Amino acid sequence: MEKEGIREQKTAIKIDHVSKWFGKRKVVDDLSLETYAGEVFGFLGPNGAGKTTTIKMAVGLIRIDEGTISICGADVERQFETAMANVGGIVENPEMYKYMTGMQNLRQYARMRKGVTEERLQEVVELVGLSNRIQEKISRYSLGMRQRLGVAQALLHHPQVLILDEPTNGLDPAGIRGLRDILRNIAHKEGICVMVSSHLMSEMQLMCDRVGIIVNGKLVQVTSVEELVQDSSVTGGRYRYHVSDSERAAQIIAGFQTASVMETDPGHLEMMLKAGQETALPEINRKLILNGIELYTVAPVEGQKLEDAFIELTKGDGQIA
Amino acid sequence: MLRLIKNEWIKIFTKISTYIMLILVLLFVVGFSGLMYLNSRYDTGYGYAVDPESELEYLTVSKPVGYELDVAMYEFIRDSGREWQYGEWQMDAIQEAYEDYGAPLLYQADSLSEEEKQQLQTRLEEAQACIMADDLDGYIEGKLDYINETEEDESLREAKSYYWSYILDHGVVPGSGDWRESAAATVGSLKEELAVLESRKAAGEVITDETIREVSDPLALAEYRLDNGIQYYLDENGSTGDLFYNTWIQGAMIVVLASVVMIVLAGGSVANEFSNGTIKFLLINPVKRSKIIISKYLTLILVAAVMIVGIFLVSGLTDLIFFGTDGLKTPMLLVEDGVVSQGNAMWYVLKQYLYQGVNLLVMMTMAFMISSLLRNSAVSIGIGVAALMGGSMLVQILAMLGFDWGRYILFANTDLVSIASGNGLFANQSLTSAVVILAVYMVVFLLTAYDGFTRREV
Repeated sequence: MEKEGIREQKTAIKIDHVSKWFGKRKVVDDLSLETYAGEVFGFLGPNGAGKTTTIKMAVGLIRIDEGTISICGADVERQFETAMANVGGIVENPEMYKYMTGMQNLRQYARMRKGVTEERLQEVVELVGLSNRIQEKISRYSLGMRQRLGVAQALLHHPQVLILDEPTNGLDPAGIRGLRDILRNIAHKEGICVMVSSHLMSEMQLMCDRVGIIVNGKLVQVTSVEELVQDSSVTGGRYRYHVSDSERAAQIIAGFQTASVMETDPGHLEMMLKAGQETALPEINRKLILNGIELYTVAPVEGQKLEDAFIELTKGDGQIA
Repeated sequence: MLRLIKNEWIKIFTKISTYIMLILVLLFVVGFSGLMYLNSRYDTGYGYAVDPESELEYLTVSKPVGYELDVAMYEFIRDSGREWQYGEWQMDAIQEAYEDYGAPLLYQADSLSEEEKQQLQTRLEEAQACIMADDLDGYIEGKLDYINETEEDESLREAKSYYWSYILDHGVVPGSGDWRESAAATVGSLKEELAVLESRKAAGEVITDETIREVSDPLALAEYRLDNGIQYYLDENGSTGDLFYNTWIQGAMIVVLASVVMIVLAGGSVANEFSNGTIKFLLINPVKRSKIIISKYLTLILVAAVMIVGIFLVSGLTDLIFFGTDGLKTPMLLVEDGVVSQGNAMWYVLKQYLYQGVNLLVMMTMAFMISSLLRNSAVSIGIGVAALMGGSMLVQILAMLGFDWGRYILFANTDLVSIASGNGLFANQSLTSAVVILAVYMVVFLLTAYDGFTRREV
């Protein structure tokens, strides 16, 4: 993970004590946050936590009830056109005009922004890997292709800030990797601030420099990805078992206070140790063997750390706030 | 702003459905001209043989008032030994001769002197002789002679003899379908009317200038036509007789179809951005929402204007193909205080199309407002088309039931042509009041659309 991403501390997005109500429900509660030029910032939270609502406020789609949001120093509500000249974005699904070709769609956006040349159009199409399909109608595009076109659209006018809501949605693994490279590249090389929201936590772990976790409209934690993953106060690690009887094994593990079962399927199960309880692992294994369960393999699950940390932080109760 | 309008224009014109609608409108334009053309082919001249036997049979059986005169005439026809045709000048002349000379002989014999009776009898016989000899000039001379002799008032005498002198001097054969005949007849009868009015005025009766103008203006027009050899012309009420202009003017109806197209486009303008999900991409551009909604509306107006002028041109062109280029020579004649001037006929036709455009504009704006407010194109289009079709019906019913407040309803004010000519549905509707009411509605529609769009949370 490149450290130079956080080198410059130039504020890109400044969210200042922002609140938003939908009727009587406060969906964003006194949220303050700053993101900086040159970093990929991950915005995490369970469904309904207020991620998309915050992003919508940041791009002027909905009003800000309290507080202010500014982009590169320009207030989103009072200096809308100046603020938005620095922003490229995708909010929710990448829906395009279906009866137009990809290029016709891009030209629509090019006409609404300053300084987009013909070369730039070709450049962004090349960048997102759509060169061969850009003259086709959107109605023939897959979700992944539309997602790429959405990114191309967002990059058209050399924005200082990229705001992408669930950008990996609908992309295949290769596409996700490609997008990750594109985003990290433009952030670190061109000094652009990229803000992404996602529910794919493992993705965030590989893509982001810093993450902010939002639960019930409140910001719970802002930290660098490294710190979050290394911080054992959050989780004691996740392990995948290959056993003869996963049902019974799950029952036995459930008896421990120090661990919790995440998933079971025939022959396999995954469990997570509570923070600071790493030493409980041999004890659990012994108990399983003593109960006559064949233990074929036990392996730590890597790349899931952020997700586990996230589930811990959001209490993982599966209830939409 | 221009680039935004270009964007909206492209959105409309990359859709196949737009072209399908335009082609349908085009088919209607051409089809309408074609039907008018076919219809004109079926016009056959009248004129069929007179059958005196059956006429006599009818007259003697049913005995209508004054049948004796007709009996005498048909007996003459029966005994004349020649073929008679309705519509021929001879038939008209013989009827006239019997009315002028035969009727007094038959019905007022008691009050006439022997000399007068003799004179009438001679005239009748002379007329019969001219008709039998197909001597039109002789017949007319006899007629003029009779008018000069019997009419004492000089201006009335001149008026009554005008028609006859004209067709005698210009060799016009009555009943031959020569337009100059009916024009000369119009001049004659209007001159007569005017002479009567002036004599009544001279006798101390109150005759307003307005009343006199109602007679003298058409008189000036008819005289102008005869002097300048103008068969067909346009006046403020539309075309008279010329198929080319008639069809072109009536083609303005097709603008109603354009209204439907514009309602569809306006109803989808904002709503489709929402239903397609493209609204978010539209609004995260560095362009204020107010500019976006204004450019959407301006684009619709532009499309509507292009469509109306397009229908006007295509309609004119197909009419030229069907009816030939002769129609182009038809002038527009305007009369003011007895002075005739020529106006621009094409401009007049275009105005008819533009008047229809007022209705289009209002309905389109309404659909646009609903689209912006409800974000549902089906509802906007439905309401728009229903208003277009049922709106005038609603106000007609209100007017019929005597609900005077109906005059403030939008639909009571969209038919500017009728209102301008004083034929509004409600009493004392004026063009000014209609325009003011329309303007108020338009302002409300536009502000609602603007407000709904700019403040909406997406």
